[in-house]
Amino acid sequence: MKIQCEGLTKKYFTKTAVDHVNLELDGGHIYALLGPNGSGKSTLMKLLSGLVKRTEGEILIDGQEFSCKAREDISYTPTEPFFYSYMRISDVGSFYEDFYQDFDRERYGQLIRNMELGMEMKVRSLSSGMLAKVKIAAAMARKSKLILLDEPFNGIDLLSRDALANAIIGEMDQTSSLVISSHMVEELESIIDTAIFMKDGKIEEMCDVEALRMKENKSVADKYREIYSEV
Amino acid sequence: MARIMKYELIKNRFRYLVMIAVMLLAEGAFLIANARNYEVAVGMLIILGLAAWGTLFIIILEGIAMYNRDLREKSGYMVFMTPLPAWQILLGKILVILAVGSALFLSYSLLAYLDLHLLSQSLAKANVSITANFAASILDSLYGAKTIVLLLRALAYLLCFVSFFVCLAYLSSTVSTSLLRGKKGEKAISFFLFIGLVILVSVISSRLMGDADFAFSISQEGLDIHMKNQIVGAIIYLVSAGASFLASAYLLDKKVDI
Repeated sequence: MKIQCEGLTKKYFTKTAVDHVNLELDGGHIYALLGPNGSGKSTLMKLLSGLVKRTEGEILIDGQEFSCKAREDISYTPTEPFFYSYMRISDVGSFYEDFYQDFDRERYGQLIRNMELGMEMKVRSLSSGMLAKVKIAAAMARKSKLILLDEPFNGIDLLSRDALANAIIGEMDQTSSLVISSHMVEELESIIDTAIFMKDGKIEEMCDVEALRMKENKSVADKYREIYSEV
Repeated sequence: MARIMKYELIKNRFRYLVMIAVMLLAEGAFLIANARNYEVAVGMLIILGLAAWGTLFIIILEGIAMYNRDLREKSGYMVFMTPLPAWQILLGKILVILAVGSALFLSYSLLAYLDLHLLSQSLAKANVSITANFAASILDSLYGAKTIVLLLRALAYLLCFVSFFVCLAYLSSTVSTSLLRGKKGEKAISFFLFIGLVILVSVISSRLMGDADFAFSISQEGLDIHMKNQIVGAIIYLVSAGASFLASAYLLDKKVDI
């Protein structure tokens, strides 16, 4: 699956959240969407998932204009809790099974067990860390071609973060694209292959992590400091 | 769309259970009163009628409130992230309101019909001729096939009106969210827009129906005019509902940020 953004712009009254972004995402890659608060990461993800509507520009999925049908292949996990409050963890699985053909119920059950959660737990009584695990389990139990995870490690302790990162990488299909936004730059470094730096709604730089290491002898965190310390 | 309806019903199941409980309680109170004191029974029958309208009103308001929550709260991601087109999501929500409203309307109508029978028998036994005759005359006018025709006509008119009301409210919320998302006054604009749209449709319908709209009389001609105006009114409701529905679906698809 190839995703192309051409001149993608989102304006809220006088504020431009995403400003003429040109971007190409190819299958089989893991991208990190990096930048300080307000740089436009979440808005870009919501644009790609179709929750936020573009002001200008185009989103092409395999050359076709974005439509609601594209959501069959796109899995977006927002940073905020969004499950219906009446739901148990098993109900989340039922909902995904009802609406997404690529959802694998067994895989979901396995992920939930691996994360040491129970199917009968009520969503509204979960801690933010537990909720983050459920969101990731639901997203990764789909065989989506594009997986968008917005700040997936928020509220999760260090050890669980490692386990989650391993679960994400382990469950990812080789042909899928994964885009993760996070402030935890150092922890993403080992799992991503491309870093996209956003600043003031624009793509400031997009670089191959391996090339960055080999050619410039820099880590992603070094590059992050280089770009944003100028602000 | 059936999946949307399923989850709309699941989300509201406790409210619906409370409404059924209220209906059963009111009916139980009527049956007890009917066995002991016909005056209280008449009162309970009136309360049952009020409860019917009350629950229908709550279903409509709750359906509109749920759509507003889906537009403005994060739980809306659940439904708007699904690969369903906006029109199917909207239609699923509206059909649930209509289906639950119809079920309640028919249940209350059936209860009212049976209760009137019981009350008329109790009144006849108690020799309260005036009220008994009144109850009997209502039953006579509702006898046999005529009852079903009247009931279906009332239900059809009610469904047209509820569709109109809900679709206009959905359009008002969708327009205000697409223009003023997260800004102050978003809900107020939505409310005033709704009132404005209702007034606009009322003005259009009164123009279309003309002065004869209010010329109802007991004569056959008067009844015919009344019937004709009811049909015109229902058509205006349906056309307004359809236009509002299409406009809401378009805005949801192209303009509204969730």
